[in-house]
Amino acid sequence: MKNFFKLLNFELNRFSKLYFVLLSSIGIIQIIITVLKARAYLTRANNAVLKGGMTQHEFIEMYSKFSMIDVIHSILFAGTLAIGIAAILFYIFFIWYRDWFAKNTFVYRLLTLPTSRMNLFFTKVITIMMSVLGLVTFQLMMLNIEKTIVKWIIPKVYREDLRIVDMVSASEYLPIILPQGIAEFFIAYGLGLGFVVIVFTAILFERSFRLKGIIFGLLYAFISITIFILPITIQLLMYENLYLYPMELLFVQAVTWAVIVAASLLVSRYLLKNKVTV
Amino acid sequence: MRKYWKTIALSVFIVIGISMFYINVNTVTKEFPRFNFKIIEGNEEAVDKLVINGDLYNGMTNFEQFRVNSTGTTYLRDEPFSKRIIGYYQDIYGEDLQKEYRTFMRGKSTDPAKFYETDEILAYAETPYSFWSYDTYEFEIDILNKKTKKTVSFSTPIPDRANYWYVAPYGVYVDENEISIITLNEQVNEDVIENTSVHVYTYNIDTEQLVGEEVIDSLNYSSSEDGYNDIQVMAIDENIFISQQKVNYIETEDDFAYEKVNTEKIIHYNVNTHTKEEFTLPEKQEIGMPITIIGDELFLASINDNKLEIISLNLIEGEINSQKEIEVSNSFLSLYDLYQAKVKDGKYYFIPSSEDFNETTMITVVDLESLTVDYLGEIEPVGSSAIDEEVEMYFSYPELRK
Repeated sequence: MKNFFKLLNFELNRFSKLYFVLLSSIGIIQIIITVLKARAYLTRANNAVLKGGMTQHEFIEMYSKFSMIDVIHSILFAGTLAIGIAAILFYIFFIWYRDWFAKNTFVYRLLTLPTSRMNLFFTKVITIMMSVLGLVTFQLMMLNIEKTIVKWIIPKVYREDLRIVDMVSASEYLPIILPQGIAEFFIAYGLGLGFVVIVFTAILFERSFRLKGIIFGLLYAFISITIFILPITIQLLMYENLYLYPMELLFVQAVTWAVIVAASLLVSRYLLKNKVTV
Repeated sequence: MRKYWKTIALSVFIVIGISMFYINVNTVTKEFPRFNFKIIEGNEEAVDKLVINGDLYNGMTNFEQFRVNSTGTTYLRDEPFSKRIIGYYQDIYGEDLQKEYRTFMRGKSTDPAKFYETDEILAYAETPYSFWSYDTYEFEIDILNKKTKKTVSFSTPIPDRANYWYVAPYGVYVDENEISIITLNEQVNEDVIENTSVHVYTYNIDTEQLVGEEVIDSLNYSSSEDGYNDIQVMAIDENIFISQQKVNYIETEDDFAYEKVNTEKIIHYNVNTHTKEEFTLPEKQEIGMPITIIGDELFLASINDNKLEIISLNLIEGEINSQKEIEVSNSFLSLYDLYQAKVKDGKYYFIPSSEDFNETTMITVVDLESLTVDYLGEIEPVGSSAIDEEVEMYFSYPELRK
């Protein structure tokens, strides 16, 4: 267990600088977007009311009050989230390949550590999941900061104050990373975990059989995803209304997920133990 | 320990951040308005089984569904995960059927028009969509014997399907070993629905063969500047009532437009005797739309001068037996309010949707046999749950529990 935590800490430390730069960039860009959006609204309001002869009420009737939704719905704000997600998707591959392509084939040292090779696999999975959850939590923190910035810039009369929960549900994409219930949260991140495990297994195929491994890996990922979506696909093809009730379907999907993840872990264990070459 | 600080800090950051968010999610409805039924006059037991669905709009984008019954208000997001998994409130009738006949109800829609239920059987008829063609070509028929739990199921092609653009079931009836499906068959001309006809298809349950097809009525859907024609099908056991209506656009002095319905023709068809009878409607009297039948009395409802009017028409004599005009304090009543009203156990539940969210929504329950108001009440906000200016609330269709 101690070795496992050492490895986990090691993996997180390796990513920490890049991660810090990523979060800082997202944070700074979002603050700039918030300030620009708020100032643009205030300028328009001032022009309309002070120079254009409109009353505050007329302006609000025409343009509605400013809220964090105006910030969240901007394409640039969505872009910052896309950057974060893209970076972590990239790191899912980089977390393995950096070990092979780093100086002095670092993976050789990792694979010869006096601990189970699967610990290496698990620590990388947890690192990715913690990075994702860290990014989500950071986004929550940023929403609070941005909300405060809006309060500083926009006078109360022009402002609609929203709770973080309202901001999330008003967004098109934030509910994907922050579902509206704790059960939905575990389902979403359970799916994410399954995805990471499958991609890692595909990477290990490539690392084990090189060029042929790319085909094996892609085939493995395709088969896993196909099996996972099979229960719901069959029902949609066969019935207008789902044959299984929602909770039954959820149970079947959960079992399918567990089988796929368990199979991936077993295959990964086999590959790491017997096939992976340095 | 010091060398682990980044890992510990990130873990604590995630746990605290995500936990705080979900604590807020779980308590968010505490700030939402809550409602109760407030009796003004009548019998409070009349609304014991009444459930009123509502929608809350918070600002431009947030939307919450809720239900109000005699015990209070429940928001969908506060329901157990198993109930909110489909993302909306399932209709109560369908929910009850799925609880009671779990196996039989698999893969079936929950539209009450597609079911026929007695103490002995539960029958279902549907025209399911084919996944590969996005159209309906067959009748899917299932009959459950409640005592033996045995099911008879078969699919059969819809006769002359190619002649129609769309075939939709509007009622089901079972008499011994025959099942009748009442449908509206629509025909189009240059992409416009031009004609609709009411058909009754009867199948022998044992042989699974079509034993009868009758066209009871047809309607030309032509519309004009001042309104359009419509057809309503009401199937109650072996009785089918078809009413042809003219819906007129009425403009008020303040340029506000609404729709007024007038029934121009009522046909009664008995599935058992295959007899068809057209009623002579009282002259110069707008009688509204059929809502139910009790004995030989057909009840019709309409909205006149922003008042609810209920008429009882004797089917044997073809005369209006009695009529009642009921004051409803809503500033505006629409045709839609009549469509969404419910009838159960001889009582008519009329809960018009408020046009203005600040307006109190009234509940009127009318005992049809005596044509008296059994319950008059309103949906009142509870305690300090004030509705702020950004929140809009609408009460929509009512439902009744078993």
